[in-house]
Amino acid sequence: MSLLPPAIVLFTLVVVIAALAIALLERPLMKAFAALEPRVRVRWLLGVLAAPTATGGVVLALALGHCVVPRMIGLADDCEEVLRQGCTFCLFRGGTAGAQAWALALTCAAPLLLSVARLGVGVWHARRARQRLRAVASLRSDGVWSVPGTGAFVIGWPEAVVCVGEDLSHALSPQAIAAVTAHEREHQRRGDVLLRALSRVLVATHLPGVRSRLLGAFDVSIEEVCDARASAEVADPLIVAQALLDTAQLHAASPDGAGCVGASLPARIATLCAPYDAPPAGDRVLSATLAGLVAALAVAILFNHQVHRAAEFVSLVVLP
Amino acid sequence: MEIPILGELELAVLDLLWTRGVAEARDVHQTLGEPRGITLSTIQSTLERLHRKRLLLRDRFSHAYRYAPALSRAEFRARAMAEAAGDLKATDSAGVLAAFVDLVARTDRAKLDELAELVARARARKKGSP
Repeated sequence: MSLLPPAIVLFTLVVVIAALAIALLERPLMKAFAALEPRVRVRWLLGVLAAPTATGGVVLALALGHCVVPRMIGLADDCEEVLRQGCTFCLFRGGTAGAQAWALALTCAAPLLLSVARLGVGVWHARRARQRLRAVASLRSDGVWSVPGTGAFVIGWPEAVVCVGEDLSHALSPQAIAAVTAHEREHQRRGDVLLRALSRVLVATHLPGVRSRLLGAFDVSIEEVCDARASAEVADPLIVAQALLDTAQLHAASPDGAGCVGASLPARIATLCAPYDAPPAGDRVLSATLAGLVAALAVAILFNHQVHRAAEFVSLVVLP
Repeated sequence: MEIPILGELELAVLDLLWTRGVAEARDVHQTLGEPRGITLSTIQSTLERLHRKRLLLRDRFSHAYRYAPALSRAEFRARAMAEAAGDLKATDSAGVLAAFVDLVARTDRAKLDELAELVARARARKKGSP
């Protein structure tokens, strides 16, 4: 069975071009994002993370939509009927049309599927960790799990639980613990575990050097959103900064060697020491409008035959 | 020995045995089974399962078994937490965990001192401002 090389080449080409463009624009993009309020920055970074996959998918849909979609759902090929004449070089060659269409979809999605498999392993570990923690946790009146150790985290998906270490509770002041709990509760409320997992899947289509920087910026932004919530809870960002520092110092002193200064800590403490001003108004409207426009454009040209012809031409040039 | 994953009833039984030291199935049933509407045979099979998982020791006393914990509570907690830590690290790299401070980052005391200074300066600025 043919795996439709021209279509796969087209998809890969577009994804690589998009990833290259983001790699080249990374510095100015990050500079522009740094000026944004963290909540808004998370949305934009998610867009950048999804950009290569989304662009590749849209171009593929534009080029092959009217061939692939009917075949995937078992309808007859509308090629002759719609175009009045068949393509000079059909992207579907040999084999069953439906099977080819599904093979194309699966092959193009391979890198993402690999990431999803990795995520599956992570979810399995999370489930095990949660079950093990349940065996040693005592339930606080506010629903938080008090577990041995110095950590504070949210774990599990789809149902996330907040865990706060007993040693941390003893070492930090009640106000600092209130800040830590508010921070973790915000992660739980926003579904950040799912967001972080999604970012690890989407980043698969980016160039290797860019991946870690994009993920780093994304993680810092998510943490800053929750730090801002914690600051509001205790009415002082410096309490949150001190709690971060104390937790890191406790980790550093812990015997298991679990360390403390990740890339996000200095950035978060710096932000807490000089917090953002009021967030820009209307950003939600702007994001919704942009998303709506992109969706409308994609739907409007999904079955565009001129793009199909162009893709056919590109395939002929790339794979003579 | 790896600490197995335990269910709610198994944890409750272990907890009771840590408190009492030694108990027979009938005693465990009276304390845990009756209030929950669980039969004696369920309690007996739970004790048997925990024994097979090497978390309980037992010896025959007259016609019944007497059960005692194989690990102390502290030992059990330490081992379970060490195993959970391994899973937490794997979970963190997959993104299915959001920690207050990175769980797997490397220690850098000089950087921590630098950050402590930053916070102290911000505090001093705040105190100085009207």
